[in-house]
Amino acid sequence: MSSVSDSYKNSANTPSKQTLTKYIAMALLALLSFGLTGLGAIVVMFALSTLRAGRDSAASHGISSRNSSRLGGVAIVITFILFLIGMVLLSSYTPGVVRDVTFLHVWSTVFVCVILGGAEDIKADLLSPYFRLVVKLLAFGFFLWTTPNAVPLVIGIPGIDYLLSVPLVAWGLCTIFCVGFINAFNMADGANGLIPGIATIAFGILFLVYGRPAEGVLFFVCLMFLIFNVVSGWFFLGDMGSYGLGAVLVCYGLMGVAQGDFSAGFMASLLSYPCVDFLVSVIRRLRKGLSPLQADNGHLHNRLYSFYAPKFKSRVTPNSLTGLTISSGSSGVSLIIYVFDWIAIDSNTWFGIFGIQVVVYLIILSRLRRTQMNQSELIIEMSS
Amino acid sequence: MLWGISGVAKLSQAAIRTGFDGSVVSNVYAPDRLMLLGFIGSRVASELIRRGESTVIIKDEDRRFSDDRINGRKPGDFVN
Repeated sequence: MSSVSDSYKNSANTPSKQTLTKYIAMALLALLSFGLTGLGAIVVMFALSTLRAGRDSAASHGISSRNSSRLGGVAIVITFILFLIGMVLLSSYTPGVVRDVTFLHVWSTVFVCVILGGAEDIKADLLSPYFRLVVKLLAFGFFLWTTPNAVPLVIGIPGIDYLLSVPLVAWGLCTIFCVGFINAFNMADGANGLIPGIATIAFGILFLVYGRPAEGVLFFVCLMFLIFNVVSGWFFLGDMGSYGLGAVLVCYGLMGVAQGDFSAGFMASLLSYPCVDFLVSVIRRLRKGLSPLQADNGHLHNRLYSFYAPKFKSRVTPNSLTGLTISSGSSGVSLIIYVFDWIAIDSNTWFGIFGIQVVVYLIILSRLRRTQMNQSELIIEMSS
Repeated sequence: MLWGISGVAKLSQAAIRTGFDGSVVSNVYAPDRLMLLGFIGSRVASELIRRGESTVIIKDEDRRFSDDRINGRKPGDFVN
């Protein structure tokens, strides 16, 4: 595969001043956060971002306005595997898949999702949406059937708790929830740093809760990807990244709730943006008589981008600002509450926080819709 | 990256050698450690070693002896 040098000046094969600034910013942030180890990860990601395979045109991906690579998921998987191999070879690390059959089931399910997403990243529409949906249902159905201790019996909501008391219904509900969640994660991946930011925060919290190296490595990899994605805008997670990270989070989240390590409300609050945005988008499309999975520009991140875009000359800055605003304003709030220990993570009070997040989402969505409409009217007036 | 992993493994071994006296865990801002692992990475490494001491090494047993080799694992071993 050959390299693409669209960030380079055509005449001389030297990077532009803007590109050099991005290199320096990425290197500095990586060095400060994870030292030379982080710099190594950034170099791997940079190398993958220059590959011609998996490149998206600007028009085909969310709010981006430049050609970028959607092999971010591949970069995350490669960096994660490199780290795991290194840990096995250089330390006394025993991977969970070797030690515990539950983790073997978790990672087998994640592997299926990663392959599904990877096929889509390498060649768009290689697999039909129906086929992908069926495979995801089968993978999560098998995982939850063989790992019944990952199915929560109680989540603190009376009606749902009654349904969860019937094992077969609980299995079916959790399977549908898992598939819905990774689709929601994929759908919300529309701005630089949005899903990577949420995943970084979630893995950081999971690492602080459990202290397991796997979450530590995922936190590291997601943070490095976040830096690369936000600073450069050259890389998207792609389906492989969003399916893979979504699958890990939903499996670990369900297991944590089932074991009583944290409440369902805590996970709902932590991952509120993809869940709420997915539900609101589906309802919006159904009300318009459209397919619930048809792509549109009515997401909160699309509207926030429309709000930021006129304020900046750069095309990457408003995109990254959109992602960072939403990830820090949703999952970041949960992180702050968790770090300062204002609410215990196994408390149902988190449902209240989730409720506030839903209300804030709806208010901002409504206000930005008006801003978007005003801008459209202004553009029509100016053009006429 | 492999250098970083090797560095964390060495820190873990150093913590075992010192009998988990806290010197390795608390030495977050040592220059060589910061160079290799950065500010967040150095804290993550300390957390891994600290958790390894108290919860992860001998997960199934409630013993913390440095010569414990149950299940073929030594103190400081990482499990998932």
